Amino acid sequence: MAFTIIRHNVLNDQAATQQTQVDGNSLEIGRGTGNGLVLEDLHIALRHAVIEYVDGRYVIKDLETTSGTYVGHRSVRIRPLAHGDVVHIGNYNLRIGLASREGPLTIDVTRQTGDEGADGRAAVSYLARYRLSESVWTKGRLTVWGLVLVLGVPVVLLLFGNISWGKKTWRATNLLAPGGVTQAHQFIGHDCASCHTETWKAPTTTSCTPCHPSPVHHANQVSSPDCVSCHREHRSDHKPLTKMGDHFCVSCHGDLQTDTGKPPQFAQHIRAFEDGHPEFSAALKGPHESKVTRVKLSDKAALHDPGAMKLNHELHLTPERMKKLGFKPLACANCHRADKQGAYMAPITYTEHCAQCHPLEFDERFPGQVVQHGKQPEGIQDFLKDNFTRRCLERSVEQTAPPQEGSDAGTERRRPGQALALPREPQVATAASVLQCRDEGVRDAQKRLYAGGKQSVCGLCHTLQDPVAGAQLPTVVPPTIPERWLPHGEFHHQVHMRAMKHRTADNQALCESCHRPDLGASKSTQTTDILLPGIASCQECHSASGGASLQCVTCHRYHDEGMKSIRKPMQAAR
Amino acid sequence: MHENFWAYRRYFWGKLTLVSTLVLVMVYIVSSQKTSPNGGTLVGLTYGILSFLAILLLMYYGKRKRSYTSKHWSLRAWLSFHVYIGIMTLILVPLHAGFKFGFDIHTLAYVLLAIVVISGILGGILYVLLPRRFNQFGEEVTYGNNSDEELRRIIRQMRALAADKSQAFADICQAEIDHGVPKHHVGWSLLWNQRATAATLASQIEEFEGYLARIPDAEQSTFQNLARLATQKRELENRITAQMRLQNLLEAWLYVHLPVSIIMLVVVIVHILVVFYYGYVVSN
Repeated sequence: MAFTIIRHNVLNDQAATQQTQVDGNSLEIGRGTGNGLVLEDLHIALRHAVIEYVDGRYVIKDLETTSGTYVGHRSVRIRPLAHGDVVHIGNYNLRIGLASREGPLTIDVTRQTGDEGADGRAAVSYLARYRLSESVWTKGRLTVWGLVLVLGVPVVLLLFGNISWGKKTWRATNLLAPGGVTQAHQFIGHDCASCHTETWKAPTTTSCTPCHPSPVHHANQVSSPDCVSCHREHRSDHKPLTKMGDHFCVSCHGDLQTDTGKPPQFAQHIRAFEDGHPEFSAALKGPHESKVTRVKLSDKAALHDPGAMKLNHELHLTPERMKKLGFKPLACANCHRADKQGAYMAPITYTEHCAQCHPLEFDERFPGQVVQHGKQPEGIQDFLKDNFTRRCLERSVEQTAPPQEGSDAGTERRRPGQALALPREPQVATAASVLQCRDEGVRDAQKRLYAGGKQSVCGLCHTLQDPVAGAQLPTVVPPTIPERWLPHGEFHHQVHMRAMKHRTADNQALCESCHRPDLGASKSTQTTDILLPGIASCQECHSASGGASLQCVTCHRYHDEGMKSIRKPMQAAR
Repeated sequence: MHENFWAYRRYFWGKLTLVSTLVLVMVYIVSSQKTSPNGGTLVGLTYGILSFLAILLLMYYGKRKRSYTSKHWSLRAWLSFHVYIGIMTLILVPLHAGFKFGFDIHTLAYVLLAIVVISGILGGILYVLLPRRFNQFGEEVTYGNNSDEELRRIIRQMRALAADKSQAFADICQAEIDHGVPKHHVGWSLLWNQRATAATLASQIEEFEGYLARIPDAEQSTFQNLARLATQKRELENRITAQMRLQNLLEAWLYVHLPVSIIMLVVVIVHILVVFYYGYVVSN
């Protein structure tokens, strides 16, 4: 009998097979060098097991070792061997080959782990177990998994959409936006495509115009920038989109070009309020003019209000003269009051501001009765006729004293507060005399209302135009009091009044500190006087030393309505 | 002392970076007086382009490091440039973004950049500080497999001693072979788990004397040899552990620095793509 042992070695990285033959009826296996099959493993006993040929077959016997002998993973004490059995001893696997039951036994020896470099196997590196480069987490794997995590999570979140908890909602599109949108645009609700209509392109003006049909800045501007070139969303600076820096304006107005190539109307180089800003220009348009003319406030020769309204500021604001006429002294604020917003002055109306002292009385015999303000002479003729017809009928029998010779009571205008002079009473008897009486009354009343220029009731404040051909009555030129004198500059009266309160407690002086400090409203006697403060007055505070804001947007709007807001005719009926 | 990359050419890159950063900060402050700073302004865009170029140059260092034949600049010059420009990006990117951050991929790119730069700074500091501590291992210690070979030799010798000896001898021998040798990878745990490297020789001798009683008389003298080898092995193990711990400390930051830098570059590209996808306009 003989046992064939085949061992697999690795020599110089080359696999090699070593075959040995052991003669005899038994093969001893163990760590000891005296064994037929030496297995170099300290876990294996010196004499571990023995394979014997007994009764015509091969049997393996474990020699009562502590680490044991296994066949097919089962611990055995004694067991017959069959072809294909695998015996495990220590770290070794012994594959049994048997051509026949009695045939020669072949043992194929392999080692499970080449731990200690036994059998000439490639030496294991102990240091490798310490080296970071030998870890499962190599730099490559960390990179790949990191990328999967860092890109995968946002992609999953974007696919998943929004996450809500309680009343709060977190929107996945936030991951892509470089900052939130401003409060005013929150309603769009992260629907990116509502503004970003085209990819790789910024939102165009058409994205904004459905909600913001803003007028163009100026008809003559060389080019109109897209909305987004000034109004930038996703900035996370929590500033409103209308908060624009001066450089936006100066980028054009620093060297202003027009599409016609002509020099600009006011100034070519405006770099700041204190650097190149021209004097303010009032927008003037008389009642018979079709075009608005802009006249600089510094151009005293051309600066006249063509508004066809007569007003002597000095008379109204001088206490002594008012007292003489029997009136209480007036101050600016009696007529000029700020509107609801406190920004601009509310319009002056006859009913509110004039009627108390200037009643439109047409005849002393009708005390307290006045003609309607705001109607042309033609329009009040019927009113007068009615009144006088009624009166003449009532007085048809009554005879009154004849009028005094040379009296011109009909033409002399009664001053407000003056006692009514006794009028002439017409003599009435027949229908014809009633009509005559009525016509005389109407004629006298019309004379009183319109004749004599400033001496007449209407002519005191209004310009009266001579009757046109075929007509008998004059026309009152409708006055044009502008709501805004400076249509492109915004102003807030209350803010300024508050800011300047510390200068004086006297409101009158406060008004006059801006409105013509060189002249003073109380010294203006001409109706054509324009009492607006010029740029120098503003620059007292709006300057580097003054401390008030110097920004363009403090007064100007890019998308302003401009001239549309000026010269709205005053509400005449009031 | 040998001039390290921080001090290369008398801190040339350090000084240049400091001056450029100051200039860029000044420009930022001046321009932010006029307009709200962000990536969409001309200044913000310029900082963005500079940051991206800086990142590309920083990433190029990884390639240059492996190109041993390159003659343009020495590797030390590149490293010095890499370190200082890397630190500069930490300031340059917020200047680009106008110091506005959010929970989005744009900020993520910066967070990743910050991780890369901070890990790099840490690595740079360790490179200066740690090598001195290697001196404790003496001249003979070199990086490489010498220790490994020595350990294998000792184990081979111990195993040879036990080959024909009793089971008690073999068991003790096997226990000593197994002692201290990690069964699996311990590289990472080594960093924060300072293993008992200071087991005293005295305690080992006591341990071995305890074993003697179990060893048959005939094997006593051989056991002395085994004990000597085992002591050598333990000393070697202690040295390997301490040495590898330092070596791993020197390398660990790279396992953050390198992968995160590549992830950061990808996220930066995503950031640029997203910004342009939704339309980019330079404003005043």
